[in-house]
Amino acid sequence: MTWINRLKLLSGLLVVLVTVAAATIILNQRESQVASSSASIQALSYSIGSDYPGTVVEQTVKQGDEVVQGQPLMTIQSPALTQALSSTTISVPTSTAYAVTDDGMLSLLATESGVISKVDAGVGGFVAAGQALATIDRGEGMFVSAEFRLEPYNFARVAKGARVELILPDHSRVEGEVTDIRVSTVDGQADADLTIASSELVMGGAGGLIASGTPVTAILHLTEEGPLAGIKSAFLEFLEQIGV
Amino acid sequence: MTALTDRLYRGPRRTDAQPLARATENKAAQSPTLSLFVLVATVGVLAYTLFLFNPDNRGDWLPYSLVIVAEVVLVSQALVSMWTILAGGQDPRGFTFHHAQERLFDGGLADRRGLGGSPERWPMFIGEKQIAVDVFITVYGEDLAKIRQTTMAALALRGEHTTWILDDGRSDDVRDLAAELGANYVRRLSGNGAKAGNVNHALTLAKGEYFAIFDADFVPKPDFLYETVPFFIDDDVAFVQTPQAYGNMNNLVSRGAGFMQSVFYRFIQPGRNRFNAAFCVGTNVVFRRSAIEDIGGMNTDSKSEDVWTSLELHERGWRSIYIPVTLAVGDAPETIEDYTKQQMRWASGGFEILMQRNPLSPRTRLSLDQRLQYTVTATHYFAGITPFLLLMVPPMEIYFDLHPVDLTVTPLTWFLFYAGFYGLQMLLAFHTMGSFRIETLVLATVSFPIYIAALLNVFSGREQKWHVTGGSGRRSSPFNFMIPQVMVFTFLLLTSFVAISKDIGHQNLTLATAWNVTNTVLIGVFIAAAFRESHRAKAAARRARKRSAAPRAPQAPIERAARPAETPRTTTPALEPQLAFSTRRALRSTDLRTDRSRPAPASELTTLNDLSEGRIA
Repeated sequence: MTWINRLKLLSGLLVVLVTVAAATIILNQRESQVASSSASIQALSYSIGSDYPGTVVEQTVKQGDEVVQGQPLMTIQSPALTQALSSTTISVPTSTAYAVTDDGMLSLLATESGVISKVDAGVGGFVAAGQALATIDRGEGMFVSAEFRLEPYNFARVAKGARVELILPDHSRVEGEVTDIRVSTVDGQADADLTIASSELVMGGAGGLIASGTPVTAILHLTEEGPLAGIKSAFLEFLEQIGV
Repeated sequence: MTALTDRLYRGPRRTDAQPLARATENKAAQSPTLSLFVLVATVGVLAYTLFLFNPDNRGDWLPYSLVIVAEVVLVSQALVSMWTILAGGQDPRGFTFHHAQERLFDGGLADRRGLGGSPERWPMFIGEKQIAVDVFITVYGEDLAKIRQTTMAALALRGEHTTWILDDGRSDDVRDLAAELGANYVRRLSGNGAKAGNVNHALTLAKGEYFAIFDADFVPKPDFLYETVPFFIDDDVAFVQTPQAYGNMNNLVSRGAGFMQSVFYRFIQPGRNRFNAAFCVGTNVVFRRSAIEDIGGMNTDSKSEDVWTSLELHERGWRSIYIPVTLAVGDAPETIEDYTKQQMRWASGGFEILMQRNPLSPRTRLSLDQRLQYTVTATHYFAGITPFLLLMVPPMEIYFDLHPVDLTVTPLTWFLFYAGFYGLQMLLAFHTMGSFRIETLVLATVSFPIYIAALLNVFSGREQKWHVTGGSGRRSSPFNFMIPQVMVFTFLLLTSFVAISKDIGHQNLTLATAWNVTNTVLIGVFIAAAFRESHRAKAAARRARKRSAAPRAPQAPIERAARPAETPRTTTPALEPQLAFSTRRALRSTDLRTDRSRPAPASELTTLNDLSEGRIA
């Protein structure tokens, strides 16, 4: 071959190599992550109830209010409580969930700080013992529940503690990690239900988008394996080393 | 030969009861089974097309559109070729032909002149009028032994004719050979217009009503004139073309190229005959001189002067005849260099017609039949580009998970439709040609860079330049001509590795991997052939060096002067023709570069440098 053609061939082969390397990195990237089929932010929630039946006489919070621990939520006038108080055989237990007065009034208190997500009873309503009257979503410790449909070979690559990227509806990203894995098999594919925790999931964050029920997309990073696994990290290390 | 013509005809004219055995014509083209095959194959093609266009099967848009574009080109070409093949089952010879053929020679006259033993001097008659025929052998630095063989065969053609060697290689050895054998020798000073210019120049010297053209490597059979000239009994016949048959099917390139062409010569050209659109291929052809004069000489503006000349003749209302009888045997391109240049020349010719004289434009004066066939010629090489699109589909799926068809379509369904398209065409090839050659598939897969380059060149009006010899006079390596193929091969090979390791990770084999590996192997076969060719050439060069180092008389120095860029003439006999052939083509394309826009003026054409004392009247 002539020198000019050798040079052409050599630069052509270089172009091919770079193309293949770039395409392989993209392939690895795609292979090492899976997008959720559905995911949403969830909060730990607590139901507020009364041990004594009675009539609601006062409601101090409404749905969406932020409450702090110990804040009174509603007051119930309970004949059963009055009777118990006057009885000598039955004692009224003390609780952090409510406070009682001697005239048989019962004040329900917030057991956790958070947001009132639901109020089930209004002033004047009669409530039975044990009935849920309000729900508080805890402001901290929110999590994402995500469903993934995985190929069986990929299910082996899901690990607790794996990195997850959460994409909020405004395309901002939040980092999280897998804390719990549950799986069932449908049509030969693994339907994995993952719980993802993140320190950044704080109620009302990201312009109010972080709230219970907000839909998100979760990108699960799988553990790398196989002969192509090292290429990407080697490339990224190289980039770091040369200072890019 | 035990043809009828072995006996000289005497006595009153009569119709011959014994028909001429047409042993060489392809029976398959006339078989009714062929119609059935074509019909079934058409159904397969249509089913495949419907399958692809079904919106339910559509996959990701990028690979889907690549597949659709490629398959639409392939499907339409396939349908038109099958239609053309079906049209070819008709014998172009009518009563007038047979009548004229019977009366071509006059036995009584031959006897009176005492020519019984020398059929090459029997006078020929068309319509009771004696005719003069010239036979041109175009030479451009070919191997001397080859020229000798061709010239001897040309001199021995049955029927009185004048044989001319038109030497553009300006070799004194060829001149001596012409004198020795008794052929006329013509050498011109300029190289204008390449082969067509050479013929035009010769037409200023030769005065016969008809002239035949042979490339120096095509050896005609004695019956060439007897089988072709009688067609000129019809006044509107401009030329009679016969096929190019090859005698050197001895490596991948020549077998693949030869086989591809035999489909063209056995089926497509006879079909085109029906459309009056068979075109001249530059050799093994007889022209009517007045037809060529009518269009102002052979076309010299293009590298594909033969197709352009045919187009101009058809535009002027002349008729062309093609007969699928092998009347000359020559050499198919044997090296990748020759093959590349040949395909480049043909593809450029096709694209030139499309760009410069669109057969569908109302300004082109052709019949509807001819418009259709010339459109097929002009767009034929698009089909050669489609393998590139199809080669890129599996890598897209491997790297980017982009699927050409919907994922719910099972591989089996896909395969059945695919087999309906390609399988039936292979079956058709098997039925018509007797075999399906893997070499053809290999060449069809790897030739796309040539056609893409041809398209770009024609589009931008550039000439292809080859960086071939390094100036040291060595034989150029085939890899000079296949840089894109080597790149694509490397890409596919690496992709195959990635695909296999990905599939091992997933524990399932994908169709994309299977296709990609198949494509890699196909191109790999070509690369291996290139290595073999390169190795052979090197070994030949080594032998040549060793021999020239030995104290002996230098071999054929004149020839070396004619071909300065070649190895000394001591290569193996098998290599000889291809060396000569390639140089000739290379030099020819060089001349064209200089005079492309400038047709040779008449004064230049008549410049006669050396005309031997032949038997010119």
